[in-house]
Amino acid sequence: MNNRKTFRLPSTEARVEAELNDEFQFHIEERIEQFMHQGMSREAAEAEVQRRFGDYHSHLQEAREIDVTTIRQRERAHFARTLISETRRSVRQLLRSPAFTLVAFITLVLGIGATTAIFTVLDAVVLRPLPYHNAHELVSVLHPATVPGSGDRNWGLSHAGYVHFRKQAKTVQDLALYRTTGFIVTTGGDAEVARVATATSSIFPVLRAQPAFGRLTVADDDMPGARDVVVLSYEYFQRRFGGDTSVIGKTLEAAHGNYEIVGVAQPGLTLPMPGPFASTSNLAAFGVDLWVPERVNPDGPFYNNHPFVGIARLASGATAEAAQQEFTALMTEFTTLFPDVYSDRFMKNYNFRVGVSELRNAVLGPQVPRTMWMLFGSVLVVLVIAAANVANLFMVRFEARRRDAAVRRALGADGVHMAAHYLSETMLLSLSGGIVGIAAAGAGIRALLAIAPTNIPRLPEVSFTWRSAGVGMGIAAVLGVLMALLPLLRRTTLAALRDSTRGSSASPRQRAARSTLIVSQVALAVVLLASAGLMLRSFAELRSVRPGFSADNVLVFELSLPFNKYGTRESSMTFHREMQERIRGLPGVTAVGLATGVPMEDFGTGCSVVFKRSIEYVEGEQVPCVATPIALPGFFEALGIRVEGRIPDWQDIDTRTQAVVVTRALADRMWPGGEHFGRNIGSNGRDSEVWYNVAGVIPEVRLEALDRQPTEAVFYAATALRESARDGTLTHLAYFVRTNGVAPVSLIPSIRSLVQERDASVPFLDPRALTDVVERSMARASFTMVLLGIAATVALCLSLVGLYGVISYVVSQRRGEIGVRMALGATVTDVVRLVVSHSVRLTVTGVALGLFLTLWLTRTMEALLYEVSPTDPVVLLTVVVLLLVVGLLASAAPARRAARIDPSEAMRSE
Amino acid sequence: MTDLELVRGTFDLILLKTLSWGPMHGLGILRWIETATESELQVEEGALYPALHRLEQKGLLTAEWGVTDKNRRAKYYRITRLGRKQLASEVTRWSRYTNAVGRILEAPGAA
Repeated sequence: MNNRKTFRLPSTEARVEAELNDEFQFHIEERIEQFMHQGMSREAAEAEVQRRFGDYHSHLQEAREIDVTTIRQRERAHFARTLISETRRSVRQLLRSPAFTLVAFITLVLGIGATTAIFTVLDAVVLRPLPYHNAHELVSVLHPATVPGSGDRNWGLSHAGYVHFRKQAKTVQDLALYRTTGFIVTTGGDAEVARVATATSSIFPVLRAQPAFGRLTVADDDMPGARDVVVLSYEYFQRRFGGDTSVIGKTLEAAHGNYEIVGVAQPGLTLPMPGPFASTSNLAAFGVDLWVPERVNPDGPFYNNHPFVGIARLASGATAEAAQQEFTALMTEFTTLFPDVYSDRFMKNYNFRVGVSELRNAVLGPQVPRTMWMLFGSVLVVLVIAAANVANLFMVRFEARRRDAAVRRALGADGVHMAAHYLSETMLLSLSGGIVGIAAAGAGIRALLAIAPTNIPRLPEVSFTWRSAGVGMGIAAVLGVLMALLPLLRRTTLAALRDSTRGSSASPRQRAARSTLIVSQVALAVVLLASAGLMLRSFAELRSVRPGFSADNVLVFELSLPFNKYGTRESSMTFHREMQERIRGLPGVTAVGLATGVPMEDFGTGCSVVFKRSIEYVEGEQVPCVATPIALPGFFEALGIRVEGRIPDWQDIDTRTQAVVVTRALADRMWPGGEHFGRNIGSNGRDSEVWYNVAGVIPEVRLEALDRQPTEAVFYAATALRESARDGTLTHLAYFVRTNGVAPVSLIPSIRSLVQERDASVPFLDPRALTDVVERSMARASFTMVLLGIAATVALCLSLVGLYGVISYVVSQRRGEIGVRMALGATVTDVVRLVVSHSVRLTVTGVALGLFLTLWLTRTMEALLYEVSPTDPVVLLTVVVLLLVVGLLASAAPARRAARIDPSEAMRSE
Repeated sequence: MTDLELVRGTFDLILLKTLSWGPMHGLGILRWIETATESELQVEEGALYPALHRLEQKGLLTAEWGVTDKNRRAKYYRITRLGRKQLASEVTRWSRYTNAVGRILEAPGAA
């Protein structure tokens, strides 16, 4: 056999059939010839061959299918082999320069990891809809008001508003009211405080909720005089009753009364946010254990009392804006329909409005999404810097291999092959960076949540999801492709080959591209550093605010007295007084105070109107609505608040004197420039018979939040005020225990056992150091600052690396030129200046661009900043100096290298 | 004497064995079988090709176009190293099988 030309397999599927035909034809013709040779006629031979061969077509089909399969299998195997060999080659290439690989890898891990982590948070908190069916149809209905003494507030709805809106509004399918509170539950285990949603039965259709067992509440349950019923949350039902459905129909005993358990709500059902007057400290961990009906009498009587969140589901086709218009129009009827509750004077004085907004916006508020987007934006900036750096590094690398690439191209490698050549390398790096980055993000999320503030709504919903992993890998893939495309944009032709024979100096265009990258890198770093700097300044300002009380060495906890045992003023007073004395007797304790609110947590979440005698009013003077906590003796001492005048003591309480303490801010509002002591104030109208007199004034204090105005408040000393309220104002008190330096939390066990001894049915709640409370109130600011700080630091380091890379490259490119200069008499100083000035030029350009961007971008930060202007010169100047230093640092090593160039050698190698 | 039908599963063995003597085209293989068996084995000639292509797919044979003595293009099949291994183990199996069957057929009848 002589093989002239050999083919293994037909190269394409299309050729398979032709080749088979050839093969079969050969067989048949040879056979015919053979038989004719043996003496047959052509016809006989043909017939014989046909008989022997069988069905030509079916044999052909069978063989064809086999061949097609074979070709495909081999193509796949070839692809896999190429992939493996290209990957191996890339790994070898990357390992050949471990420094480059490590820097590029870490850069990518940081960039992708940070982006993925922050995206996860952004996604869970801001992007994902609230956990309700068609959540976009839900709106909140509240009453924004500007309250003298308390500022801008979102008040809740009143019963009157609920009845009116619900009857008249056409833009909503249904409207529901709720507030949140706590019950001491004794059924099913130890006495504990359950989180309670008191809500109209319409809450369930509005949220589209279903019962898991039994039933939910219905309209009849809302009627005054209906039986007391309760719906358990699924989680509470599991935790407290072990999922035993026989509890349905049984009685749930709470300290203040009994409720019939009628059903269990669907798993996961909760309210979107706490009621308007709940503590602001723990929005994040908000949940519902029990659902009880809110009794609303559609015929009144109504009160000017606004403790309810309103939520409604929009009618099909209606928008939140349309509902806003309708509700605003409906509210104008308030003064006619409920003249006793909503007077014209009230509406005007308080600038009382109605606000309908998408529920998600109401839950998150304006700040949280803004902060989250800002953080996401800043990590994107870090990512862009990271990517630019790695791209730059790759450009330098590929540049060095230009000759190699040009040779390959000249030998017939097409664009696709060249792309695959670069792609395998960039992809290998970016995808492995992506995988490690995503893993780091998963771990980072946990760390992040540990330092995260509790007053960001929805934060506990954050968990690492496939969605975020997908985004991370997507980013990695895009980066990989982009970095591979960069070198393809260049000439890798024979011209490059010619070029590269004479020292491979980069073309002006390439140099410009690299300079642009580095300038934008510096600019972005400026923006980030400035933002982080502003947050830092703002946080420092916030920290330096003197709250007017001393939080050091103070333990806070709460006691909630069961209403059935302590339903009278005397019994609860006796209990608290005894507890105070016992705790005061513990070693290390210097003062014990009691109050109805905890500073920085729930001061000023509600307000009461405070009057002075009518004759004292001047024309047009507004009546303030302020916090009116009750402070039992010892409170001011425990918080280290100095009081001018007299603090009411237990004797005042026993003899029911009407002495109160007011804050300086309120006193100055009520009696500007005048004498404060002995003046009369009250909450029962201008012409009331009951008046309290000001015995003490405390200096400026901030009890609501550090970034708020000094608090205006009246501290009642447990007098007749509100003592008959069923909610039991004095059954739930916060205790403040000051120590002589002993760690406050170390007292927890002994105090807990004191409470147990006195009455085991009293739950001991939430012991915490007051310093933690204050710290937590700043957590959002510190959280934002820490994250921005991290992003900015990374950006700064990356800029340093980036600048260094570029300057080093420039020095190596200009070796010949520098050699010539030195040969012509340039001194070392000249050479260093040449290199350093190059770096400084790039830095200055970047800084200028960055400042411009900063001024433009940080305006959006204004709401996040406390007492700092977005154009704060100190911050901006510091950033500029910092980056110039970085520019100098980055050029130091390359400049030294340039200075050591030996002219003769440099010129010879040219 | 009637032609012998091919025992199932032995065709591949025969093809491999035939090719173990050297590369051949399809018709060459058939002729070789005819000669070796004195035309006692009859196969449908067209069925040869799917069988060959299947062996090629398994990597037991390779195929390449060549030119015959009469200067005509023909596809030649060559046994691979893997094919030889397969052949050796098939041959062993086959002889054990025929041996066993033979013994049963030749065993003295039970009295």
